[in-house]
Amino acid sequence: MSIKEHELYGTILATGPFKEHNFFFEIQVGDWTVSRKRIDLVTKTNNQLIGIEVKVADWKTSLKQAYSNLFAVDYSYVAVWHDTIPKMNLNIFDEFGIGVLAVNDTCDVIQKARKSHLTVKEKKKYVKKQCEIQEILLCQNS
Amino acid sequence: MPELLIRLNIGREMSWLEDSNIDNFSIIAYSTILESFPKKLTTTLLKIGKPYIIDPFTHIFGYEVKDISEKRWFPKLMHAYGLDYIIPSDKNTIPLSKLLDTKKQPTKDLKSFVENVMVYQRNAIQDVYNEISEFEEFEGKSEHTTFSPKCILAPYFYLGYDSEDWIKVNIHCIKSAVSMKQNKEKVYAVILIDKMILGISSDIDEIIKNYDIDGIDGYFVWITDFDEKTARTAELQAFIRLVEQLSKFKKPIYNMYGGLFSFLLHTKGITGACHSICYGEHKDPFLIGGMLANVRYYQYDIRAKIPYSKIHEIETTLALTKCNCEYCNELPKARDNIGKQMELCGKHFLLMRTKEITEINTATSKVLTNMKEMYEKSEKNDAVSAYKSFYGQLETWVKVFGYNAKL
Repeated sequence: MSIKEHELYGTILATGPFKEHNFFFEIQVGDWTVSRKRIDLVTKTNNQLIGIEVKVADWKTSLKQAYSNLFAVDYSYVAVWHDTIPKMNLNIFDEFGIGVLAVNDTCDVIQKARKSHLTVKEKKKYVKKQCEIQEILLCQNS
Repeated sequence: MPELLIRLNIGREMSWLEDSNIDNFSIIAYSTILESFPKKLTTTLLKIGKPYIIDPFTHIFGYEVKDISEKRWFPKLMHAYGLDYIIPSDKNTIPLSKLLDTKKQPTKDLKSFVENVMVYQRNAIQDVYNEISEFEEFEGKSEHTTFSPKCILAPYFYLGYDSEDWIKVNIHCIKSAVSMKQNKEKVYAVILIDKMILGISSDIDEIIKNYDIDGIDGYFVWITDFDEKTARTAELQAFIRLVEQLSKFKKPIYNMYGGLFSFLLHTKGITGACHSICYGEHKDPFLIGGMLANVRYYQYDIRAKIPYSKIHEIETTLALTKCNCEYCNELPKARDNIGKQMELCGKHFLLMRTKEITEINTATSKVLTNMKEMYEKSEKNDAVSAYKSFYGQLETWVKVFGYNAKL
């Protein structure tokens, strides 16, 4: 069975640990310069930002991206297709406090994220603003 | 001391250089830039007072480049090089038959082309200066100002596979240029070779032996799109071999597009290298133009250009030293000003590059040891290998020098 990355999104949104919250997609992390870096999914809870990098199988790349997200959000997760979990080195995710979600028919927490101590206030503020802009645009279009 | 040649491409870079605090360098500028910003380039050369070279950029007349005739400088250069009469009106390239006769000897057209290209390099800046100084007041203006380039580059063309005829054209151009030298003028050859043949040592040797020409004063080597940072060990070793072969002629050798690795090759025979301000350390001759859209910052510890937006995360993760030069101290104030960020990062880069060149001159081995230590430290701190693409070249470079030390 060949699963595409975007096919995981629906399950994460509907059944994941943040299903009660609004999600924002492909959020840019900075306007310091022309930046191509985007976080796949971002959600807000109180004043905290949660970033999720979604990958079907390439957990090593998702780890790098999730690590980089630690500078822009409060909690950083990766979400992967459930078959990928046994192949992953979960200790390294734990070492950096990166959470892990397994996606199948449901989205389950394998490892909870810890609060990032690397978050840069300015970057977080920018990500938050990008979410707000997306929210306004969605309201206008609906 | 390895020589730094700074390639100026746009007006704002010329202004940065005018008020930067660096000293030991020369300027190189394409003839296309001279045609695009004649006044700015000329006044910059006047203010800086450094030796300069005009790259005649003749290779673009050797192969078809899409939309090139739409560039404003194109017809100007065609005219200046006397190519209006050589290139057919429906083409943008010089037919080989106009340069070599049936016996593969140089034609009159080749000789007049060489002469025009030399006259252009010799006089273009002076002509612009004379024109503007007649009507305008500017800093440094004087009645007796004279300009002459550090050296003249003989016309050159690209050498790929099966370029036997173009080798002949290049050699005839060089020989003609040498015969037209004036006074103490120096004539350099540009050897533009496709990266694909860099690894074929027999082909390289075959090409190089043609360039042992009486009267030639030095060489510029341009390997197409040869990026020192991403090149594999074998490619870097092949480049060193080429330099070593060429250095047997005992003339200065410059890398037309090079960076720190080229300066490290000072001990292997490289005299210096040319690059722009924090970019342009490799170039594909088939791509014309293109602007730098991103602000890049030179991280001295890992000798790499990193995206401005990643400075904090890379320096934090790899535990690198934060620079506190006058330009870096000003960076936080440039939060919403990309132009200012570019300027500060550019000036910081120049400061770091000149510092590196001084260090290489003092003790290359110390620089290599520092690189080795920095690679090991970065690799240890980068537990998820998120930033290896920014410091991985240190390992390759050190390995290449280790390899050669054993030989």
